Amino acid sequence: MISATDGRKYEFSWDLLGDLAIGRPNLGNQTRVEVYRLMQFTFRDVLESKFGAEMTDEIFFQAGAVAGKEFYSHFLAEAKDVGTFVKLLQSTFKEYGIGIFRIEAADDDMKNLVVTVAEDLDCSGLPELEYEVCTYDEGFIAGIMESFTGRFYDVKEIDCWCTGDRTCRFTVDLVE
Amino acid sequence: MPRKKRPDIEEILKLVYEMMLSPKFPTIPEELEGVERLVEIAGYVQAFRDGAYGFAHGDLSCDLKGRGFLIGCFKELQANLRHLTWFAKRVASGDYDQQIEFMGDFSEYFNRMSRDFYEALKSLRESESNLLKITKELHKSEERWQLAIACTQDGVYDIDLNTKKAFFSPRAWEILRLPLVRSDIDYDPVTWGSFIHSDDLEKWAEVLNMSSGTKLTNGQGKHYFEFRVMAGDEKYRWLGVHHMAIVNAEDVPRRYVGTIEDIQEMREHDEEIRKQATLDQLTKLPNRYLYKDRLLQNMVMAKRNVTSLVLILWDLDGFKWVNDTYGHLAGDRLLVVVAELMRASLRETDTLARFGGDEFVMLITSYRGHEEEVANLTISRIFNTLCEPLDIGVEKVKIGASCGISFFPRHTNDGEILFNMADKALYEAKKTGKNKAVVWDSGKLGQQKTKPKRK
Repeated sequence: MISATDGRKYEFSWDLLGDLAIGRPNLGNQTRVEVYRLMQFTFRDVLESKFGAEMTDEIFFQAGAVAGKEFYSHFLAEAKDVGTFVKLLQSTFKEYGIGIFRIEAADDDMKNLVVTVAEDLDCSGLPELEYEVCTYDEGFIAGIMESFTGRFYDVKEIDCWCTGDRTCRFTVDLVE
Repeated sequence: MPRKKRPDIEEILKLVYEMMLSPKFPTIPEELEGVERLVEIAGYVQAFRDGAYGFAHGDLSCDLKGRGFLIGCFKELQANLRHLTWFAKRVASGDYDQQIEFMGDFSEYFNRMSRDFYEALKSLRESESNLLKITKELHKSEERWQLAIACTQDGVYDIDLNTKKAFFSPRAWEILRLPLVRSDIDYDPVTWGSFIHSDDLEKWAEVLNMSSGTKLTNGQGKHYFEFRVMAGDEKYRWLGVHHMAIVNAEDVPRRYVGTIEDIQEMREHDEEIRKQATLDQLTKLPNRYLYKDRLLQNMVMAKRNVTSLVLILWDLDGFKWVNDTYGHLAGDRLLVVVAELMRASLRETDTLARFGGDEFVMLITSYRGHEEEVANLTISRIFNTLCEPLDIGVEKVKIGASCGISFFPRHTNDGEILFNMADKALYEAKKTGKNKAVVWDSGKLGQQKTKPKRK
């Protein structure tokens, strides 16, 4: 049984994801993207109504960052160099159905990058909404980059399916 | 206020057509500036055209404004192309491990190319690694070779018969008494041959025959030569050469390697030993062993040439008296003087040997039937010489000599018997008055069954 620490009830732990082999012997680890999005956008709805849009985006960014760090420590930590890191990142994004991750541009010391995530889990196929919605992705990417480099990054989505683009594009800049 | 003209649909279509297809972007007429959708479309198309123009010229950096499906797809194309640029940059920096996915055939070919690059590079690195290893071993081997060359007392040579170039180690130059030449020299067997001693040219000819590309029967030819070479000090020196031919698949020599040994001292030493073994140390005349050898040779030659030999065995009369009177040194001096006189009485081809004490043996070649004549002539010369007092340093003394004579093959074909016959004749000479010569007579001397004892 997982116990709360410091009086917290929902502090994240990878174990909270559970043992799917035992828990879902028939259905396994598969689900529908609609279900994922149903949960995410209903969360947005409720959070916005209680805390406002800005705070909702902040919460989603931070949650994404926590997820990114956990994701890194479980799937990417073996990468010791940029080449291996990028290759592993791409294959893991694909394997877990997160999206098609690509680096569009990057300087040699990994200070400034432009990355794209096509067929993004969060937004691809969504109606045009006049604004970018991938704040969770922003945090996710920031968490991964921070874990890999040990430095903080400002990640900003500049193109999104919801703004009429076909792929999500993020600027990833080191916070000096 | 004049009523605003209603936009003409044909005019709008014409304008949109020009926006899409005309090389020059059209200007929106004033009367259409109010048509917001048209202005918006014009903005998108212009951005699209600018971006496409940049792409066509390799510029992927355009910042595409606007939105919508077409611009979105265009941006995705831009993102993909920029991704490929980044990817190519990774490959160029040596990262062949990346994979491009979801780009159709391009992914397959690019990934295959990248993988092939990787395999080629891996193979190249393995080859490089092997090459480095081999180079390292080669350097080690070269170092050993250099150390071996430096340490050995022998010179080393390496002759490439294809390039006609020859390497000689510093020690080889030293042995040859020539100034050190560090670079390879021309291989010139004819010129080199002119430095070989004339008596050793046959051996050199063997080397020359091998040099001419003669097929060797044993695959690899290993030879040892000893010959004299005119060294840099213009003196002939004996060299011992271990010579090995490296042959090609056709068994033809393509390279010679070997060592050069300075055997001059060893040869001189051997010669000295040989002399000591075969020459009498006092008179430098052949001793008993060399006499036997000469006797055998002379008998063979006499048989072949149908000639004969005259054996004269001498014993000095009065030698003991000289020894007792003047001492052994004077006796030795007497022997040397007598040896020189006897030697001077013979031809170069004749043999004079000393058997020890005051006993000398002559072997003289003669025509058959003239043995007595030859013997008499020689004996007369000796007796005449001995008539004069001999200078033995402390005094001049007068001595006599007796000799026994036998003929080959007239008296016998056996060398030992021939000597015994002369010995008995000498005994007879001594017994019957000294200072005389007696020729073997089988009727008279042959009756003695035991060898007489002589003083």
